Amino acid sequence: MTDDNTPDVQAAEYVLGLMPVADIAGFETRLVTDAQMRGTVNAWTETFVVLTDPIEPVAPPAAVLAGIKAVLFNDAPASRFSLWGVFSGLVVGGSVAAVLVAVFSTQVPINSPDNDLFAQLASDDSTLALSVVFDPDTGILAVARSGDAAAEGRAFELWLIAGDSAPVSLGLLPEPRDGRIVIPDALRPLMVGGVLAVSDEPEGGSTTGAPTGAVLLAGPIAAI
Amino acid sequence: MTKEAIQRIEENIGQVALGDRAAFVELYNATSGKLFGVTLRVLGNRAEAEDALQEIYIKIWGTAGRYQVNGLSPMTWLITIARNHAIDKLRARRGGHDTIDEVFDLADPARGPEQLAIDQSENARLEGCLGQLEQDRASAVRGAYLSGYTYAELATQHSVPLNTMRTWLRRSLQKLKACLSHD
Repeated sequence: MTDDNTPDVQAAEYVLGLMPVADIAGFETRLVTDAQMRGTVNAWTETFVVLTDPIEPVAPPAAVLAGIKAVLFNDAPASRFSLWGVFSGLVVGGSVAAVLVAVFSTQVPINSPDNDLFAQLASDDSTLALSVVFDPDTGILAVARSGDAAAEGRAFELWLIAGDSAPVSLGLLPEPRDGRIVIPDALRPLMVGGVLAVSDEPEGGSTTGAPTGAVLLAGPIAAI
Repeated sequence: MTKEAIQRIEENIGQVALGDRAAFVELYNATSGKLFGVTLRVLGNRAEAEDALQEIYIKIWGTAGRYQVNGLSPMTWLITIARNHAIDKLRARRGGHDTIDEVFDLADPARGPEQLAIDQSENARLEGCLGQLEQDRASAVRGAYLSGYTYAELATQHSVPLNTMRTWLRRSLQKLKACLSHD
């Protein structure tokens, strides 16, 4: 049998979403160091995107932008339900979406003295709010919480969603209200442009490695 | 889209990377129609496409800082985010099962000769090369890109064994590459 699985074919299968799931992680590792393969992936991406040329634009309803602003900028109250929808949508662990993370995560993280990141998260009914400052140089995330305590036998757990990746636990929120969480080295570069979320979990935190309860807060962490 | 419009989109992405909300809204206004069109085309369901579009722009806000280094044109980057996200949702919904009818629902309409005549455009170039493939193989490539079909689903739709489909498609991709680089 001839070898039809050439680098060109692999890159095309990756872009189309045809690469076997088991091969994706290895291929993405290769992409980080193999500039030629990255170029091939980009070339196929530009080639196939042309298939969307005949698709006519359709104006989305105004509610879409309003919903986006509510989530990103706390512009208007968003219902807990819609936050959950956005949250679960963001964490769909699809292999296709992983494409972008791999190709675009090669940028060196910013490391200036003035590079603190901030997040202000508040629930729609104002019963819970979180103010967060992250110092990428030390990895310290300072957290200040206001509002209700977790219910009896429950705890608030903090999550980081970086790009298309599944949420990663950053641990339980400090008790009683304020405190510091040291972010592991590997996660520090992912904080830039990440989304923080707080979910309601059993005492001691989620045992599954993923959020199990209601998402109470969600919002981006960014430089101001 | 004019060169100036594309340049402005690129500037907006750079501003969004720095947290510029006004630039984000400008970017949304300039590009959401196209991205919604693509999302609707992939998902074929308006309510689901609206949810997806919201999630797509939240992703764009969060990942704009990674745009500069990837070497893609700005519309390609944005459309690829939208297409990939929509296909993830579609695959999650489909859960590995699909009806053959859907292929025909979602397949592109046949290309008229007038469209192929615009040989300056990228679209015509790709269509020209796809046109050199056997029809079912070209449709498999389209089905993978626009409908997220896996090899297993394509094999079922075309009533061939999985390995045959894989071999067909890989050879088609090689032919496509050769055709595109000879133009």
